[in-house]
Amino acid sequence: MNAHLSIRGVHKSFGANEVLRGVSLDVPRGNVVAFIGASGSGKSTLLRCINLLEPIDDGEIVLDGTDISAPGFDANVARRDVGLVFQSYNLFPHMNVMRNITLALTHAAGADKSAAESTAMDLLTRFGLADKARTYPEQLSGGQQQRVAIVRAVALKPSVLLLDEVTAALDPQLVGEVLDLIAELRTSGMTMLMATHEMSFAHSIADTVCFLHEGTIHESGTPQQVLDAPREERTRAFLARTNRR
Amino acid sequence: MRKTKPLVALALTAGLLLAACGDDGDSSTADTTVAAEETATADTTATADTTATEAAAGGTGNECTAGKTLGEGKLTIGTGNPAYSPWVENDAPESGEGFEAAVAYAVAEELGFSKDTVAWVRTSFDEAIQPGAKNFDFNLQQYSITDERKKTVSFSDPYYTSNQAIVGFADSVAANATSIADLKDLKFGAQAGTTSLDFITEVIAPSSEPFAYDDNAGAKAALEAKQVDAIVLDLPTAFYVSAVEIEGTKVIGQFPANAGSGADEFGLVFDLDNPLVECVNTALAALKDGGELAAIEKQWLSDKTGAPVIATE
Amino acid sequence: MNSASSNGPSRASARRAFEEQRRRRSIAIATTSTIAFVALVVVLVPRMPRWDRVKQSFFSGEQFADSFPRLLDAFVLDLKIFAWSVPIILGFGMLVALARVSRNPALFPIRALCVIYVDLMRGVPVLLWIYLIGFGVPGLGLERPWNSPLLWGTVALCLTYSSYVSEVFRSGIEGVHESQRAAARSLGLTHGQTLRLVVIPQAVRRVIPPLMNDLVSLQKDVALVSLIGPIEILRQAGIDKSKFANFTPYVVAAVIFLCVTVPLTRTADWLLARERRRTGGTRVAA
Repeated sequence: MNAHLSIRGVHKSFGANEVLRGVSLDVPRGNVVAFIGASGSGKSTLLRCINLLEPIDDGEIVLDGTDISAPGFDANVARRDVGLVFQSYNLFPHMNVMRNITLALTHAAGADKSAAESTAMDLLTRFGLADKARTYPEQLSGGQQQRVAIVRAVALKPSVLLLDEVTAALDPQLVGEVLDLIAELRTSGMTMLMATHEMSFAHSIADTVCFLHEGTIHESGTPQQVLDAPREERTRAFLARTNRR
Repeated sequence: MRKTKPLVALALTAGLLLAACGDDGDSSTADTTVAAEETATADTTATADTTATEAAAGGTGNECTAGKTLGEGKLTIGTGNPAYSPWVENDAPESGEGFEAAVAYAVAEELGFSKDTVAWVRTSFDEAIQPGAKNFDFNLQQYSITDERKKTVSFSDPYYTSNQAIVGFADSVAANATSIADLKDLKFGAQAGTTSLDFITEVIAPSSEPFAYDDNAGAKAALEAKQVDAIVLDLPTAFYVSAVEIEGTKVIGQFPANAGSGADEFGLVFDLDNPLVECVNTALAALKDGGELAAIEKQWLSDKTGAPVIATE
Repeated sequence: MNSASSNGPSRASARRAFEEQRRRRSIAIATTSTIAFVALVVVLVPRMPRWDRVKQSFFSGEQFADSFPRLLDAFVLDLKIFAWSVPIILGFGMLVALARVSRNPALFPIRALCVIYVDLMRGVPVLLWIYLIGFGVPGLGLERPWNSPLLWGTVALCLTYSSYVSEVFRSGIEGVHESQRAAARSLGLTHGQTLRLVVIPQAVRRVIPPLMNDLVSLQKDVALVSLIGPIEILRQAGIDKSKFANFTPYVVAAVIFLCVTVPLTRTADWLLARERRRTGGTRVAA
């Protein structure tokens, strides 16, 4: 099958601690996969491995038929095609919003300044942040910062977007605007993998939900299958704990 | 238990303070020779005597010096740290070896002090000629008598007259200079704050600014590193440097006595308006008349002539 | 205690009045104590028994005027040395800092060398390095003008100050959170680009105050070059002091130094404040 992104038997350890113990998954183009699981189950690590921020110990990551995890493969090329957005936004504080977005465009993707700025402006306008173009990150609210972070990742036109618990650090009122943005990206056909705690959001937009437990995918299926009627005992226990919130 | 600790600390501090205060030699030299003192009170100022009168061991000065010295019955003399040859040999003025050490002891004897009632202290060159109270009766470190210095310290009559001299490498451009004109394009070095440096800037007036150093050690190091072509010093030191200290150098020349600010006359340095100056001048006069000063000079500074004279016109 | 009614506006105005009164009181106390102190100094000091002598020794107007042009001329040398040294020190200091924070195993020998370099240069007094390098290197047999004490004295200064500055830079770089690097790398920026565009700009902004400290200190240590010959301002002040038996030349030198260091530090403060205003969010008031 011609999956957009294929993860096969990925193992990752930090010292003596084995965090990923053989994760395998095929993601068709335009699909949204939601990872759920307890802290320490490996969600963040998995996303960081797909983006090649962490080198994997064993297994393969194949994007559009190319093994990007192969030794010697230029990680920077892969990273332009696989965007990663962090829980703590990580915007560059010494640059304004516009520069945050255009930096990678001009230096990593080789675009010229005016092309980069117009791309950035289009995206900012599309997501309602046009008037913030010249402000600095510290002057924005959390929700705005996270939306800028997503725009920054999307500006490089990646074919896959990874979202690592992007709403976990936000106030509840600000979560909505970020989720709206993600929903819009989905409509435009972006393949996305997201680690999240937002069960209702996962339910509404994910095509596949994977429950990660102790470094492996314990259960996976449609949202209806995994979230509404989980087969596995551990999945049920996890969902019971989180739903009590 | 707890009470004794602060007491111990207090005792230690007090002890340290006492030790520090008692260090100007007051308590150290023993006053064991009380008996000898009586015999030494006889008038010892030499008149027509050609040989210096030997004061009895434990001599505490004469009528003139009474009450004018820092320490009662003692003479405190200051010199440099380190003190260089040929002025003091082996940096040990107590040995009496070296021109200035010998002159100091001759003056002391003339004043009625003996070797064991003379104490030495060390000061830097600058320290002794600054305004303010001194920790010595007089200080000798080849100090030239100048009008500016007379504003802050008092000088005795001169005990030595020296010309300025230039030292450089025998195989260098500087070596063949015979007139001031030949020297204009050379790079000079000298100790800062000395008449030697003034001599360079005022008399030689070279085309490039000279280098100045904290002490002659710096000037010598610069000469060896060939950062300067020549250094200016008083004549005796110049001979010592070229003969013993830096290989391959020679005294290129000396300047005549009427050059610029005049030949340097060395004087003993005293606190401003110190009454002891009179006594010392009397002693110096006696030593000169008696030929003793000349003898000391001959013994320690034998190479007074021998360097070519450089014309200043 | 508080007789104000629960009426909003009057409670607010009561608070304003209270704070106004408190502010006026603290200003009054501050002003009076400052005036009192200055008055004490200005009135009492001249009445001390030997003030005239001290004034003549340290603050002689005549001597000031006489020494000033000479010292200003000598100061040009200090400025030249400073102007040459600063870019070299900043550049070399940054290189050493980068070498020390790099995690590339291949660079281990360079990292080790940098540690030794920093330990040595910092551990030994600058004075000793000036003598060792300023006299020692030329003494090995260099010809003029390569044996110039100005050249090697400046080299000694640059080597020692680079070691101090490299540690300041290193702390700045290590203070930039790892997540900044992660974000930059995730966007496809190379290691070098990440350092240059994201890490170093943030690191440098953080360490401007301690860096300024080092630069002001450098400006004064430039005078150490005089130990090996060149006559710069402090040496000239010393020569004048010996010649005229007066300490006023040192006061002249101090005034000239302040004319440079004070604007320097105020400019740095202003730059920092401007940066904070531009990028900052809300600040806690008082």
